[in-house]
Amino acid sequence: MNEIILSVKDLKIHYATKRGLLKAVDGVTFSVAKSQNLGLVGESGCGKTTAAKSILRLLPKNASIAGGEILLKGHDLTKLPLEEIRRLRWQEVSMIPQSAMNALDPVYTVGEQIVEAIKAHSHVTHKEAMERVNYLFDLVGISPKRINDYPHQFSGGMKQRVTIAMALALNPSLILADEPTTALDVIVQAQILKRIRELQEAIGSSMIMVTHDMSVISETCDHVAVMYAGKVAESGPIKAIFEEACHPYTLGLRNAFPSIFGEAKRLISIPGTPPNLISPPPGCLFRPRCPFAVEICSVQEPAMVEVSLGHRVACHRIDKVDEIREMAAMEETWSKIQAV
Amino acid sequence: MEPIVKVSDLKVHFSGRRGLFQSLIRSEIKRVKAVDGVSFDIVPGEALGLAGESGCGKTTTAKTLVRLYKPTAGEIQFERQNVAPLEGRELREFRSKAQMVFQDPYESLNPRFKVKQILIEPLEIHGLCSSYAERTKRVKDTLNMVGLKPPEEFLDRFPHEMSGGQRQRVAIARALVLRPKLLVADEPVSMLDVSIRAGILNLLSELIRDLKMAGLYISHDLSLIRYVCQKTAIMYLGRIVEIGPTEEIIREPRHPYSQALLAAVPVVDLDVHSRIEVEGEAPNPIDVPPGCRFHPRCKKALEICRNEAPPMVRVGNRSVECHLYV
Repeated sequence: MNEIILSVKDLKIHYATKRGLLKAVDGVTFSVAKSQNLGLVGESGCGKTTAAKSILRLLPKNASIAGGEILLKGHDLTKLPLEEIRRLRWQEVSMIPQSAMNALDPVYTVGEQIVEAIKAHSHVTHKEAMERVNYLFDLVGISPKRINDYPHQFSGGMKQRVTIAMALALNPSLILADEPTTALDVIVQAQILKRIRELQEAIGSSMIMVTHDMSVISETCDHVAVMYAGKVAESGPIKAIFEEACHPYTLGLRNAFPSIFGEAKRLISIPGTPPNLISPPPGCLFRPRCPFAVEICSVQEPAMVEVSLGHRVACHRIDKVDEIREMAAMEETWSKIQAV
Repeated sequence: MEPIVKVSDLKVHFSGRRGLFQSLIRSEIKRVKAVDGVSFDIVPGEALGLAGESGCGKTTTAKTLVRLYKPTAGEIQFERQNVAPLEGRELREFRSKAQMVFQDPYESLNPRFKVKQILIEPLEIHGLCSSYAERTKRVKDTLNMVGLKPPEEFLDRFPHEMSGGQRQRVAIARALVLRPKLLVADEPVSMLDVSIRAGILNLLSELIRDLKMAGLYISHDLSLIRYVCQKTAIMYLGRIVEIGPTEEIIREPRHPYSQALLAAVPVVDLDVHSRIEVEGEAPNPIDVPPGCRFHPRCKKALEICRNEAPPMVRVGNRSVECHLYV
């Protein structure tokens, strides 16, 4: 087993809102090994971005870490003062933001922005920093001639490459990628994902890929954590999640995904919407949308159980998994649920 | 079956603004040829998918089809009438029959309107339904059609009180409340979660089929088009390079660009990775390459592709614009 770079244990993050405390992340545990990729997948509002951003403490003011720990190479980031965290940013942990369009400062050239990040975190001369930028641009496939261009002179895909170059600038041990390809069209998306994979292999850093898109996960990740309503529903090696998924939510997500292969079957959506996290229902949070729910599901929260090596599931009906898998592939199963 | 929409050789060009200096030296105005000679037709109950990269002109084609833009040249036959030159009252009348669903349901609905107001407004503008009671009934029927049941529960909600999927359903209802003959949907699911997409895609394809509308569905992702459209057109730099039955194009794309677009489609399969068949991005439509537009990025380009634009040729059920098939 590889060395663990990051391990998040029982993390709880609460937002103080006007209507009450919102438990955006509620007891999430995952870890990332050296040069491995973890995918955090789930619907909007399931807490995946909050969980990822908390690692760099990039959360809004009304958010607080209510419990748990985030261990980066053994240091608990939740206890470090902000000054120390700032030193880690870019250096140890960097981020590829979701919309490259808004992530770059329009009044500075792209080169200046990366040089600024490099110089803020390491003692190098301007010339050395510039050389580094040259090298990075080459790496991500942008002509170094364009270093002195402004962001508006780049297309969306090119801007995303710039943010990737920036994330790699200081050889961080962990990269947080927050839906890096959602705003791009399929051709550019395929190019960017391939580039990320190659670079990461070359540099040996680990990555957390936050996305709602199962295909992005299957292209880039080694491990997956499926999140639902602030909790991890199922996690494990990618093969286990894709081929032996156990949680009804994971099965539902897979059904809803369009495919270009085989027969064009009807897509099956998961009825209903995620629960309100200010006053969540008792028991399993997926119960209102789950076609396999039984009595216990509305009373008791399911515990995480390990079904095979590294593959964990939080579901009461895990004993009936074969039956559930079979039924989950049929549309009638899901249409029985009255969308609330 | 007689097509509802028949587009022939449609062109939409935008001219850039000339600055003072440029007007003094009388330099040529550069024109962006967003759509440069596009033809297709759509029969009732059928949806055509328009696929291509960002900037290929698919959205411009869509907006021109519902006459949000005026075409530079070409014809748009709608129920045997050329709607390209229409203006004023005639244009408004046409618009009541051609409706569009936009990409972002978070921005396309007025945040200060309740669902009821959002849906009644088009009826008032076009003077449909004679009384308020009738309009309310039509609104309720339409909400039922898009799966917002029971309608009473949604009438008094504001957009912010609904999820993304529900908002997109309201946007679809707003288009349908006029009972249009043509429904254009521009990437209607790209802002939505995967789990909700399926419902919207199924809804659109059922509505187009059951209401016998002509549908135009725009996306860069062929796997989504597949679930809604019987026919697909692949667009590149303002032209359709291949058009034909969706399943055939997916099974065996002929144009090298269709092959590239298909290879890039995201897959949920551990053994298959999306391949990349073209590098770089589409060139700017201001400077369209000579010869075949795709030749600078095409791996199969021949000598002739550099100099001569390929003709549209018929291959089986399909039309392809490529020298390889001439």
